Amino acid sequence: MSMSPFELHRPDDLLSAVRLLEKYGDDAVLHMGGTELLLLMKLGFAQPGHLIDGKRIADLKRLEVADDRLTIGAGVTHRRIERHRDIAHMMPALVSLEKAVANIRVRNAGTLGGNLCFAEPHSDPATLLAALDATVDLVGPQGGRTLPLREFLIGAFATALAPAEIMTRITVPLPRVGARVGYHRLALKERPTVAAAVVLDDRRCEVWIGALTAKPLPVPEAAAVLASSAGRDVTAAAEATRAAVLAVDAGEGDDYRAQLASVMVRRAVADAQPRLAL
Amino acid sequence: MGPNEAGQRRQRKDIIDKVTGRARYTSDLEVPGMAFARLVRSKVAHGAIRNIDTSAALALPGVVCVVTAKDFEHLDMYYGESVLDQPFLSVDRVRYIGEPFAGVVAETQEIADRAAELVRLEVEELPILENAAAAMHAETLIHPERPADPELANVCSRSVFEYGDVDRALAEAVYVHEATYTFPAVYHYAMEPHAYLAEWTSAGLDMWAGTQQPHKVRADLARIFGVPHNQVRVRVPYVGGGYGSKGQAKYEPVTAAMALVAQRPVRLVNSINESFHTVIRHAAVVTMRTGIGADGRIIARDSQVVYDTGAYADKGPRVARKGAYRSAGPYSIPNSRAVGIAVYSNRVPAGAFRGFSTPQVVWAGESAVDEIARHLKMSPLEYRKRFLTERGEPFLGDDAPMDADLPQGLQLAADAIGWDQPRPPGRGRGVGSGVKDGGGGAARVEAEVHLHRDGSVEVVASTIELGQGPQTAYAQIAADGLRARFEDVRVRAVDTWGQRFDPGTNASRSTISVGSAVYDAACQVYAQVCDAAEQVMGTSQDLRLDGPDVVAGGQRKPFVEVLAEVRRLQPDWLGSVSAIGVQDTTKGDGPLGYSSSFYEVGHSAVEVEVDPETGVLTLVKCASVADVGFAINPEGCEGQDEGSTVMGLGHTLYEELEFNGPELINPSLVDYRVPRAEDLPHDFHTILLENRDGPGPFGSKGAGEGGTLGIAPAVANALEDATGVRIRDLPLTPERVWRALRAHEEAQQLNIAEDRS
Repeated sequence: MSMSPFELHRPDDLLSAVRLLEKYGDDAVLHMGGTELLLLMKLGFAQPGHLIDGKRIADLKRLEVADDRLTIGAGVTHRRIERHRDIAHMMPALVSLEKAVANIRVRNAGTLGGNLCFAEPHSDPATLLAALDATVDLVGPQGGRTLPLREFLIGAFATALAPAEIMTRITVPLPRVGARVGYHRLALKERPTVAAAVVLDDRRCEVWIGALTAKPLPVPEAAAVLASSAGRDVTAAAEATRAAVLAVDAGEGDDYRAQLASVMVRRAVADAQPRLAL
Repeated sequence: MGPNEAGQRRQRKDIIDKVTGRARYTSDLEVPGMAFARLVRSKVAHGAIRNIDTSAALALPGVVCVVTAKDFEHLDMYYGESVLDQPFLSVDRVRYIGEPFAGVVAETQEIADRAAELVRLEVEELPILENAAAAMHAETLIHPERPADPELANVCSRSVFEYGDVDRALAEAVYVHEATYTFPAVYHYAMEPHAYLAEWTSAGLDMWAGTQQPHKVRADLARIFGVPHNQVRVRVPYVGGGYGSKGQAKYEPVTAAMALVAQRPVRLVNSINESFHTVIRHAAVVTMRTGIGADGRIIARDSQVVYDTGAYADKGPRVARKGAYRSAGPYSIPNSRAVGIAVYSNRVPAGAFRGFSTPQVVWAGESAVDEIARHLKMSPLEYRKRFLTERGEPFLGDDAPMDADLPQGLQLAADAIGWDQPRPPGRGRGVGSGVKDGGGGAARVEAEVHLHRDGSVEVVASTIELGQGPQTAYAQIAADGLRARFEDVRVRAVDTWGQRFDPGTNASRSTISVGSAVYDAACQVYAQVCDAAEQVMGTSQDLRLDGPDVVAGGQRKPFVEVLAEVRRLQPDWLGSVSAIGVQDTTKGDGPLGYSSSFYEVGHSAVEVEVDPETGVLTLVKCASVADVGFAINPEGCEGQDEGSTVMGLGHTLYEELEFNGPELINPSLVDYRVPRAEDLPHDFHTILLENRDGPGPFGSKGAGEGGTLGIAPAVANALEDATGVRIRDLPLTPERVWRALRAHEEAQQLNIAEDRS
């Protein structure tokens, strides 16, 4: 099918973009890499009359690396993250995750913010960033606000983004030096089938399962097991994950998927690499 | 004289055009005044049409016309290969989700797309027969007008091949192996979806089509529209992949019909989703009983193959016939009965697909033989080698004698993966062999070669360049016949107007049939040049053409001068030296009604590793042996065999058209998973077996389908070798493998428990 006609707007700053989104309301959509949006439009699932292209907005493209956090503009491409030496040094799990997103053409155009705003349940970054407790900054007609990513994601293709609101940046607090971070996924089709993200810190562990449910699924039982065993009792963590997946919606959480989730957790722990100092 | 140019590794003539985007496909074509079409497709799987409301679509500005079957009541709207059961637009019923029941023509593609959404179909819904299994035992008939089968409902065709005394042999057998194997429906995944451009002019119907069978299409169009063949022109530019999906008529008739009403040139280009709803490969259920004699020999095979042909016959009857016939191969089996049944269902029609019905039966046969060898505690490789049909032995009872050394080819494949070397833990190895009687026999085809006065050569042959390489191979064949340079030869695109008949580009038939005609024509032209050189230069010793010059007996002279002198004409009045080559194979009388022209042979050997935790099966080594007789372009042969192996890996590991009832739920390139480069092992080889034992130029055979035949059973056999688990359903998805592993483990634990008690 062919796309229905639309008008393209190319604002240079955030405020103009917000105003355009406000002006055209439901008929407008923010457009970055287009790797998801244009597909939807070609399939006839979205027919916006106005595309607000954010690629000229410099604010959306900032990427800063500090000792304790990564600040990634919502318009930063997967490819830029993947090739960032400091991120590779400090957070190798994020870089190897980004390297496996779709294919190089998608990564060259697609942005981290676009990925999170699309809220596709099979997103790779969402799972790891939820585990790391990233926050997202939003700017809209009423001004700015910051939300934990865990709250920003509401469900499949659903976010807390208000009308005319734009995600501007993602802040990833880094666990302390020496803590380990791991991500492991199995992708039987185009997107991950099951993924697991783990953060292994003495004081605080996280275990999150991606792609099985509408939004990343925390497994606090598994995290608690890992925290109390200094990350060693992987078998118990895997079994806790299996039980947690079986307990969610029976349609998605069948025994095979529960098995995969438990295996992914074990492999994510095995893959986990220490966070290094900048 | 042996080949000089043929046998060289040549870059494909079409490749630069294709990788730079210069190549023009039907979907790129535009002609003045052209309008754009979109077919309107049923969302109902089975229903009697009450009304089609086109008024809203017609009211949309820019719409030229909206057509339905009512506009063509004066025409015979039905087409098909052997059964004319498919109307080009639904007449009184719709029979599958995606069936075109109306066509919209508009000034732009966008308008046509929007108008198509405004056409309303009102139906009285009929019971849905979601697959062959449901249809065989249903009361509802999808084609009530078709003759009834004595045993089952909705049978489109039933073919039986029988020789020897199967029942007696099975009764005498020391061991009878029986199992049922299933094969999924899969999609061809041609990069270019179906595309057509039709225009009616004072000269008749001018059709551009991405088709594999332009002459068949011409005949169908002539019959449907009641015009003589000489008023139907079918031109075929580059075609972006066929694999069988563009055989026989597809949407040529409906495009011509829309152009007739629109009184304009009309272009129809399917979306990928629409091509998923145009034609697919038959899902199949194969039940085999195999009887083993005291010496381990297969003494009988009784097989029943049910092919789900979907809503319309397409090539289903031929698929079922050939599949049944081939189900006894490639072993020497003295008693065989094979029944092939094509069954209608409310699914997308199934038709030809690379390997043509054979991957389904080889999947069953080569799995069964492996199971039998293991039961007899014999090496699956040695067992096969002992009982494969021998060279010179009549194939499947009384078809043409086997023209290949099957054990030799299989051993080559096994050697390539290190069959005899110790197996690393957790890995398994398997082989599979397939034989398919080749196409290209029982036909008379012709080709032309023109040597122009400047020394350039033009080959006119009705073989479609689908990416399989005839433009390159024919240039090599012609260059050899003419002793000319490869770079001076050009092969023309196909145009039924003025070009010679060929039944179609399919069945791996082109090289041995049309290719032989090209060689014949080139040799005739060469003889004429030699004759002229002798008159003008006094010699034709070691004559060759070097660009514009004739070189013979140590002399060099421009060809145009030789020609001018011998014809006593000034150069401006000279054209070319031309000849028509012929390849004529008599029908013969084999089991199929003609004898096989050659045997397309494929041997696969693999080593796999299984992740017991996820069920993911990884190919570690893969070798394929293509018995090509003689490789005219080795690079092309290898590419074809690699491509067919990878395509076979699709139905082995990943591909399956998933249906929710009658509805196809994964008709997109994102949801339909095919093998990717990263899925292939580094250790991935194609070996060309060249015994010069084929009927084509220099002993060549057809190629390009063999790799699809044995790969699935090779992988399943390797899986059993690695894990002890036998799976009889494709594809071998991780979930299926994991569940089988788990069931196997549970059964073993149960056995241990029973032993203890």
